[in-house]
Amino acid sequence: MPRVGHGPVPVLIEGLHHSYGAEPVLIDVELEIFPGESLSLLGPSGCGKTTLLRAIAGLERPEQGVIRLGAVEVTGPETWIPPERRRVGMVFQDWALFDHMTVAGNVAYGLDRSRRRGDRVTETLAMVGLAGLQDRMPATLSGGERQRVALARALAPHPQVLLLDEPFSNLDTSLRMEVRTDVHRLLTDLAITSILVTHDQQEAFVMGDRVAVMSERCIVQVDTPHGLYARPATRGVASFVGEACLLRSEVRDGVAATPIGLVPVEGIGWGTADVLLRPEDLAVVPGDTGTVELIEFYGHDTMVFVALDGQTMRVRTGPDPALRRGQRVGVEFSVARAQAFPARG
Amino acid sequence: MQPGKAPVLLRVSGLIVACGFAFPGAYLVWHNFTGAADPLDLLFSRRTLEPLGRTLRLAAGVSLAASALGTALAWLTTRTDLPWRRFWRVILPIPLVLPTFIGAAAFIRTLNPGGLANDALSGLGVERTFELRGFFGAWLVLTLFTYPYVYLPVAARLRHLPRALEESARLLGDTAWQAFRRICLPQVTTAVGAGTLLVFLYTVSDFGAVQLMRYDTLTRAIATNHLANPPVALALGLILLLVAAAVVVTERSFSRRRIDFDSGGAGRPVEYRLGRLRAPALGFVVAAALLGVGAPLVAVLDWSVDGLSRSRGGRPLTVDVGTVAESAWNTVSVSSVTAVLAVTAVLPIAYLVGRYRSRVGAGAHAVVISTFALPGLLIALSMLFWTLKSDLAFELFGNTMALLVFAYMVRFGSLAMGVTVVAVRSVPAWLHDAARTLGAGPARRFATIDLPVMGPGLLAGAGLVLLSVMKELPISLLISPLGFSTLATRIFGSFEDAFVAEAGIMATTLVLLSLLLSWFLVIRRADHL
Repeated sequence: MPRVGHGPVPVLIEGLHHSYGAEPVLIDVELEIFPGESLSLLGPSGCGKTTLLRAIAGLERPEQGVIRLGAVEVTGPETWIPPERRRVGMVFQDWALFDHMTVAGNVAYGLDRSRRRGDRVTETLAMVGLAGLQDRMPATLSGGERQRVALARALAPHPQVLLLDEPFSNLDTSLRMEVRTDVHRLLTDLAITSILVTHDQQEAFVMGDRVAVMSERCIVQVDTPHGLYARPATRGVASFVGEACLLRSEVRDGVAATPIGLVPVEGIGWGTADVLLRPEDLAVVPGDTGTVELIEFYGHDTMVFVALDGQTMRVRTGPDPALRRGQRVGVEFSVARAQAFPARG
Repeated sequence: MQPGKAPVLLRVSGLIVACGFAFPGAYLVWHNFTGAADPLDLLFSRRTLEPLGRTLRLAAGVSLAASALGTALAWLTTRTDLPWRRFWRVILPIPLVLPTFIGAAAFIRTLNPGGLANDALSGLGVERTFELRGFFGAWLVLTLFTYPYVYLPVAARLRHLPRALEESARLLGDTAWQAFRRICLPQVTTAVGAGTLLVFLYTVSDFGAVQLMRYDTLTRAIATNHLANPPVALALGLILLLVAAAVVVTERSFSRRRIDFDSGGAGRPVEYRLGRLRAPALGFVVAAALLGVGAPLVAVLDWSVDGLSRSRGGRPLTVDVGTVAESAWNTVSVSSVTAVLAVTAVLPIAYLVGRYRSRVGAGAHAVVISTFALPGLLIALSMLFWTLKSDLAFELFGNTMALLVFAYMVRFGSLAMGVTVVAVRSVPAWLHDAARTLGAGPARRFATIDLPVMGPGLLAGAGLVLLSVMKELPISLLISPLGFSTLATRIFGSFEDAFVAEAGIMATTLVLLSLLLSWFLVIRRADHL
């Protein structure tokens, strides 16, 4: 596998502020991406994640703050390097292919005049699995192929950093998984520093060595996918990554008294708290505390909705839980500890 | 993402272009009030009121007839089971690309002794010459040549009316006729209105047809007076300008109320069965096509055959191929140069409006668009007086191609404006973003992204200008440099003097050129077929 030009570089973002008119879109964003790392930038639409990506690319000039690519300050109070000189590759949400050029024309666009005729184009196309398609027009390609052309075009000039803005959102579900895995494999092989913007938690977890969660124009938490899932920093992150049920309970000496019994918690020792219970932390047991409301079968597992003490608890069970609607059951906490957040108001 | 502020260079060029477009009209008004005679005195004299009355009468008559004809043809060809509808849809817009003075010339020519219709009548034993002159002649020719202005928008609207509208009306209990009257008709009235105002404007500014038909409207009176009595010509020009402005203001208020439908997935519109009316309806369409398209073409062809084969007064007429070729070349070259320059001139404004939403751009855009109401004769008049009054202007531009091309640009630049803005908007911002991240600077982005993507749009804009300049008459007549003649001025001149052999051939050449170019540049791309 051909290696990217000059070795992977880190990206450093400090104190980034930006607004559109009176409307702030980025507030005091701090972020460090390690050399060769894949970082997922996860957040709901409108949280500012695409603006952050565009600021790194230089397509947006932030009002304050510093962005460094490797040792070079590309955005700062005194410095501004325009996007065409940043050597940053970007894959756009709708791929932004040049429809009036061939596939080869698209991929060669970012190359120096001298290298446009060389074998970098064929090499890159082969890398993304599109060997032989160089003379086709983009309009004649399938969605998955267009996506790969966009990726090849961004990778051909050996960018220092690769930015991907919701690159899979235009593919239908079945294709998305397949393309995603291919891209994942490619980025891992290339060991290129990359940032992927997505609003899809699963995508962020799959693609990212680490995940940065953005909410309301700020970065709230940066951690590995596993760390993020297990120890969300806020209630918002908890419910945004994965499915969550928050139960208001009294905590005494690290143990919460919840409607499903006593649960050891971390994060708070005494007082009123919201205890985070993931569906897979729970189990349906014989009992008479709740009623099965709904059963949703997903193939590899089943989600059981149990009405209990005035609220609905979601419990993930095996594929065949042998339950039926209306049945009286109990719910049990099945792991060692749960996360708890101090109750507000 | 917010668009950035437009580059200074772009804003300055936009302003300069707008000033250029505003100049002829502004000079005409200004000159009127700085001249020796008081224009207000002249404005209400018989010399001006009578031509004004005739202009309004003709325009009203033509508008009425053209809107009825255009609407009927549009309905018949889009919503009924009329035979050969696709054929009619190709044929019926054709008069739009034929110059009215050729139409008028063809009609007069064919009814004169030696003309096809006259010969046919003699063959039937009718030894009489029909004179097609005055109001009726002008009305007939202008109606037959302007109905496409109504036909095209109404046909487009009728075809894009969502099928479900009429179907729901039927399900709610309307008969076919009630559904048509209550649902269909109200939806096309705005299209009919807008088209009719275009016809009105066209008739008011037309010069060729009224001149040949010897009907003394404002334009003809201006042309007659422009050298002998400049103050009168100027006052008449001012009135013409006011009439045109009034029409455009009315048109704007119409277009604001236009409703836009999402035509996607509307399916084929409901079709009405003509039944026993099918034959008369077909007869009507055939008659319209014969008069509006067939007759002028046949008459022009006959005229050119005439020029090739006959002699007059015992003296054989020889065709001077050189003259024909020279005029044709002049026409094509001056039209192409104007077309390219016009698109280039409006491009900065299109960028200001389409990409940056600049306020300077919006103002400049409004100026360019408004010149569409400025009759060619007035632009010519204004430029003529300017070079006559100002020594500097005469030194620089008197009798030059530059002045002619400038006048053409002002006359037809507005045609290119709309298409060019659409072309600029058709370049998505993200293509530029993508090109920038791949290292392309502004010049490379313009050459590799903007130009190829905008290409077809710009070509269509240039095509519209090209076609219009080719058949332009009053500007070419009044301010062509000495010794420079286009096909249009030659045909017109020869017709004014007497019938010259070459005129027919030139007319045929011009018509064929127009048809060919409109096929390649406009019709082929339009979705109304």
